[in-house]
Amino acid sequence: MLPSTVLAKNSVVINKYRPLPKKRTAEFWDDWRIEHIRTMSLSGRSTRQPYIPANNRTGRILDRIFIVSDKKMHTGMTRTADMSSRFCNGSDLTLSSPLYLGDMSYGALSGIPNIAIAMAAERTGVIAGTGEGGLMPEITGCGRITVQWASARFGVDASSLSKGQAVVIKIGQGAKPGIGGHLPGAKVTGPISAARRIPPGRDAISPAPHHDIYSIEDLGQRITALKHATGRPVMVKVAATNYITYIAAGVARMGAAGIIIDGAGAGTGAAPRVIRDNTGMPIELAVPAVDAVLRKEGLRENFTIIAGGRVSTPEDSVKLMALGADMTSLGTATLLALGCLMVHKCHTGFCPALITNRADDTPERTISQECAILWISNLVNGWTGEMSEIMSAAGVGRLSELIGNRSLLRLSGNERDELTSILGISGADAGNAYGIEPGASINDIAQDVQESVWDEETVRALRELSGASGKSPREAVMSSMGTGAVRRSGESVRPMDSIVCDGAQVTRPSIDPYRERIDTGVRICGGTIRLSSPFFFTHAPAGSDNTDDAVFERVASEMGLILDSGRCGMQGTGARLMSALDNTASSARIRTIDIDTVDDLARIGNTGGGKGPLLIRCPSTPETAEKLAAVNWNCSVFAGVVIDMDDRRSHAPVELTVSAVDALFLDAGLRESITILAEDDTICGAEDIFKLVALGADAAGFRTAASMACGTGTAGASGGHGLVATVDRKLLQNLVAGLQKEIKLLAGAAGISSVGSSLTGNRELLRAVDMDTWWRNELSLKPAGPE
Amino acid sequence: MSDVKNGKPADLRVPVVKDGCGIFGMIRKKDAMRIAGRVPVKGISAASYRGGGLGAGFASFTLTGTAPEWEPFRLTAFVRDDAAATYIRRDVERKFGRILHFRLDRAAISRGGGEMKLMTAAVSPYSVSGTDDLDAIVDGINTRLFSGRSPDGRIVSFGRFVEVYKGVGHPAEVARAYALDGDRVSADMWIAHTRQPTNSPGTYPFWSHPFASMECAIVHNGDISSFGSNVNMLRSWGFRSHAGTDSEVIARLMDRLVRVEGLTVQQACTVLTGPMEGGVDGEMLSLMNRYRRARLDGPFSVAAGFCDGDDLYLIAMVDRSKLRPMVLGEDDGHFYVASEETQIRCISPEARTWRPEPGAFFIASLSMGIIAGGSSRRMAVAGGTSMLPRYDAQLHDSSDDQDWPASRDASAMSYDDINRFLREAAARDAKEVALRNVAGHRYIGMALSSESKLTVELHGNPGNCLANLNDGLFYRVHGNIADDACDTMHRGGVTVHGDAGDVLGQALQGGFIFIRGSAGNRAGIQMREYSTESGRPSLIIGETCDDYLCEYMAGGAAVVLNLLDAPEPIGMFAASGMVGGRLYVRGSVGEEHFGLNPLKEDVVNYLRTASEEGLIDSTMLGEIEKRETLTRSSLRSMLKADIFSRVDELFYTSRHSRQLLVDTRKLGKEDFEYVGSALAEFFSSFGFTEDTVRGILDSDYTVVTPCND
Repeated sequence: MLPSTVLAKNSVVINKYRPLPKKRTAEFWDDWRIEHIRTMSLSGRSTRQPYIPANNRTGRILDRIFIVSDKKMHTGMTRTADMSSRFCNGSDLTLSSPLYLGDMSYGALSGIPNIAIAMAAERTGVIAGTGEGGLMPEITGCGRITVQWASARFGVDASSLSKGQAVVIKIGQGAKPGIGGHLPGAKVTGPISAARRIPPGRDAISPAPHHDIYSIEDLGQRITALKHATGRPVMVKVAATNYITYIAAGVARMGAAGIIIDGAGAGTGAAPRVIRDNTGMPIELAVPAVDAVLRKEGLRENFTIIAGGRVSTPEDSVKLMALGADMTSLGTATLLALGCLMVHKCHTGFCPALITNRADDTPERTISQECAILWISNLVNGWTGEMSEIMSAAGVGRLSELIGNRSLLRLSGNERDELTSILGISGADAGNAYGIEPGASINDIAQDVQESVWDEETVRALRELSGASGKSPREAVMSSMGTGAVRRSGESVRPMDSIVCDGAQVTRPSIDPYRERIDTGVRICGGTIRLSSPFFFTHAPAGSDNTDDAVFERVASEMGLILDSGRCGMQGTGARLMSALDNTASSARIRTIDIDTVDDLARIGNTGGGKGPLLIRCPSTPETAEKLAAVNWNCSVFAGVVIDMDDRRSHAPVELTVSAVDALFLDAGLRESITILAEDDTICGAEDIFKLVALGADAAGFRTAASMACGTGTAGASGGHGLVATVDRKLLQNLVAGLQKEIKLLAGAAGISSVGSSLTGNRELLRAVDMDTWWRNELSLKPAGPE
Repeated sequence: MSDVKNGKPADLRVPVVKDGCGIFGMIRKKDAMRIAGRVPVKGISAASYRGGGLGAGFASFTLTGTAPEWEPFRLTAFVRDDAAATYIRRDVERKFGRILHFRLDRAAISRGGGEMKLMTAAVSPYSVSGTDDLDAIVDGINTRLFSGRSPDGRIVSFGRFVEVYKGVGHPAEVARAYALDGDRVSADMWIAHTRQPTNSPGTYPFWSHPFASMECAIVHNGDISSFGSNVNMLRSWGFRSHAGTDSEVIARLMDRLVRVEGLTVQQACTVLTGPMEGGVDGEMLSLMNRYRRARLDGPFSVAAGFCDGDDLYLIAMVDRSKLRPMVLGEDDGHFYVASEETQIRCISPEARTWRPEPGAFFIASLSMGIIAGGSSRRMAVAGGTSMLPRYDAQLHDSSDDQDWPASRDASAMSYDDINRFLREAAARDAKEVALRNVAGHRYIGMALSSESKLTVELHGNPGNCLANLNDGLFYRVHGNIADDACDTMHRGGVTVHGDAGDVLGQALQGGFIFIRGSAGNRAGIQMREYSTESGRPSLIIGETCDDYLCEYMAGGAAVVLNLLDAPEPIGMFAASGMVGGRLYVRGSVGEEHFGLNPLKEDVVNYLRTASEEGLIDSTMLGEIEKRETLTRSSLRSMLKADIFSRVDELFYTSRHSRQLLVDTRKLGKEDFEYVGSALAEFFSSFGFTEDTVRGILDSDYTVVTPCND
């Protein structure tokens, strides 16, 4: 930290927007969205161009929804819609506009932004959430705030809880469902310590679960207690996860005044990348489902739904309200109004826009409070104006006519029936489906898979995990505001990319993997071999160099994994060796035999030596399961199956084959004694391993990701397939430890404490987001959203 | 593999209905009388904060003394209409046995679109050897009845010694409908349930608990994350029809593991609760691997009844983090399981009660008594006083004021009444008030002004959320307290002449908590010290604690005195995530109890490779392998610096948690400065003699602090 005298010399007060830096990769928060917000924030009026231009619509489902317009918009001529509403049941506050300025805590933001948000809410007549940072003295007098009861109880006492219009029990956030927070001691400065009532200089940890809320009934108990203590209405903030409909119904039934649902991809200062990109569902899937369930159960009246998570334009707000929300929450948009440059540095504490930098008592470097209040007030006014224009154009005069009025919406472009029924809206045209047609050969798209899987961010994350770059080897890779997560929004190439994992909240708690035990070990081959994590290394891809085998074998052995050293060139020649493994077992070597030669048992004796379990190696094809069904599963001969995507005969995505084979053995009553290993060289992170296991594999094998992560020398960020030079042993060990931590994060978020027993084949933990219906049925997955 | 038609997966989707509820169970001892129905009705009804009137039920178990093979099977089903009943009847007759009695004469208790008729039948099987097929026959019938979007019915019970009575309504309503609420129906063992469905309107009676499978019936509170895996286990066994509740799945797993797979009740409980690896060995480990998909993950508390034909078993299980509440009890004639202590006290005021340890199970059988006690810490000191109820018969009436008695009988008061009374007392500047017959009242002390310095005497057992946000009041409790006491307490104090439940003193940041007995899971988590004004928060526990003691601790003092010298006074993962403050545990406690340690197997694996490469010698490796647990400091003392540093990086260190300093020593001057005055206050609160105190203080203490380098 620089001494304050130096800071004084470099005194900076930000009072105008800095130009946006050039983006290297496509991002959701693109220049149009940011400039659109800036325009409103400077003028305080509608931009007169409220609709998202076609070129800036992403693969996000919400971007493919259009609002029916009665007439072409005549700016200035439209009648103005009435935007006012009552805040929530139990509060007599009236809002000038259905906007909630999202819950960002003091500590995550540096102070002035927190004050500005609360004051702008006051000035414009909306409401602001204060987050879990306690109340700054400057905010205490603001009348339009909510106060949080969160897992760490920062800054909470009976009196502070009564200072807001409502108490918000914060259970989860869209950016990281099931994951807690950790403010390093260095950031717990004097003012933060005072506001949060925590010792200065000590790490401030927000546990992932609330330890007073392990279930709906516990939540009910806490809602009652807080209502009793404060006399205020209580709202509950949750992430949009698998059971969002149950959670919302429970929240309503337990007497809360409303629910704040935070969708996937929402902003945050710091979230593990693997969680941000793979847990929770988009807000546009959660809102209509929640609205429908609450109506069905007679719980919708007098219950407020606030929708957040990538609400990027007034058009988004209008659409989410038409899908069933009463209000929308603006978080990232508010920061952009404050001059956020979207450089993804929040978690470092060095914010060039001075929004998320360290809050300390040196006011020399700050954002101008006057400007900040003005910008946010302007944003609220401009946003309201544009919403009003869009509503007027759609022939809607007041909010009650908008909320839940899905007839105002159309789903455009290449829509499958399923999405329209999930959203409860009509498709503009049925169009032709995109993605891979059922039955299409994987070879046709192999090139695409390679390109889209190994994007820059993926490779960078792998290399940070191994310590080849970055400063935190072996730790889950962190991400910050606004980045990433575009791939799975309708642009998936692999079925896996359209799958999201569960974040446990309310009905059951998540598990904090940093402080609590999560066992990632799995036992294979009849329990004779234990893998420390549900993954292993495979042989080098066909035609590439295998000189690293020795390193892989060593690391596999010391880190409790296996290496499949089978060579593609030996295909069909009988038994092959999977190299060892568990040094304790004399049966350390696993043999494999090709599916096409299983009848020829005599040859196994000749080439395999007859020691150790024998697995049948097969390609990933739609016929694989059928072929395996024909095998005589005398378990004393075959211990399981290796589904090898790298086999030249493979032409179905590996996850489909894994799921089918798992189902086959379940139905035959053999699954307990049969091992299923899946090998796919497009596995590029912990999330792929986790999903393959939840789809039915005992463990997933890969090689290229490890080479990319741990290669020294010519390894490049965009490194070509299998072209990476020598793999470093220490880096590879780091990678194994890092992947294990990321798997623990995913398991913990889902409330799973034992991977080997509770994750394998547990499809209930997965949901399909905008997935090809044929794939979804093949995988026996439920779609994200509906009850 | 003839039954596999092709490789295409069948539909794996099953409806999910989840809930959070109140449970109760009791079994008579050998020499006691059978238990009349009104007793469990009272027990479950006493869980007054639980259940939403949307489902309740009972299961009775009775050993008749006849040989099992002569006992007919009792079928209970809910059916939409006569056609469904006829279908069940015909199918059972065709495949299984002769119908002895058949009744379809009343509407099952239900409401709101889920109206169904109740069908009961007694069936005598055609052959003794074929009785095990009944669950397959029932599954077939249920699959057929459950195929449409609106189910036509469901068989909910089909054992010889178990009867299930359930419906949609409050426990008392359901009991009345089945005439259980008097003395007419009595049994050797009962379990009961009241349901708060969280996500389904609960209109069908078959979604109420108990769920039964042959001779096993269970009631359950929780929401398991392993549901998908558990259903896969059942699928492997050929089950196709799922009502969609966790509870039904658990009943079938338990029944199947014991009846068909041949496990003992204890083994089945071990498989289901699934201790972490390292906790079991040999045969059990291989059973756990074989039945790993039967293991339950996520929150649950289960009370189950099981009959093996010769004996009856009352079973209680909780998950590894004990996320759902459970209290166990015993008196001269019975054993009890309940969600809340009040449920036991209302039947047996003098019962001794205790709470199961995380991941533990309790089994008591009619003929053998306690088979598994549910708490090794408690069983180890069972002769001590800790398990006795702590009622202080003497009430100190502190005021003689006629129109405002400062002592009240709480039995007819709501929590709102109680808090109004306390506010009134504070407004009158009363110094001390007392409440008698406190029976599970929640939220006591909530919403009281910080100005008050009132002392509140509570006699009985206050419910959850006692003294939350306390800012200056003093409570003296004569009895046990429940969960979530003293959350976010700033000032004042709570003295308990009894035990505490789980999550005691979360985010305690001022004042004191003194527990004479034991505390459950997660005592003192997130304690912190932030200002001199509130003083140093202190938590002192007389006897023992379960897991995660002082997790996330950031400041203050926590002490576990282990007054009864239990061999393991605290559970695992104590001080995990600690960043400040101090934890003292009397006696020498193994380092493996503190923080989060990696699995020994993983570390040994790494070192074995190092040994192969000659980096450590094989004698050293052998020595390391022999150790039961591998803690960081033991490795540091054994390994060369460079090897240790790599092992440390790979297995012990994370940017997200600090290392702990664990030191065993006599208390010194500095310790007395830190925690001495709180200890003195504790000893005087409970009237310890000077000699006793000297003995307690002159012991070794294990002192844990975070490593702040």
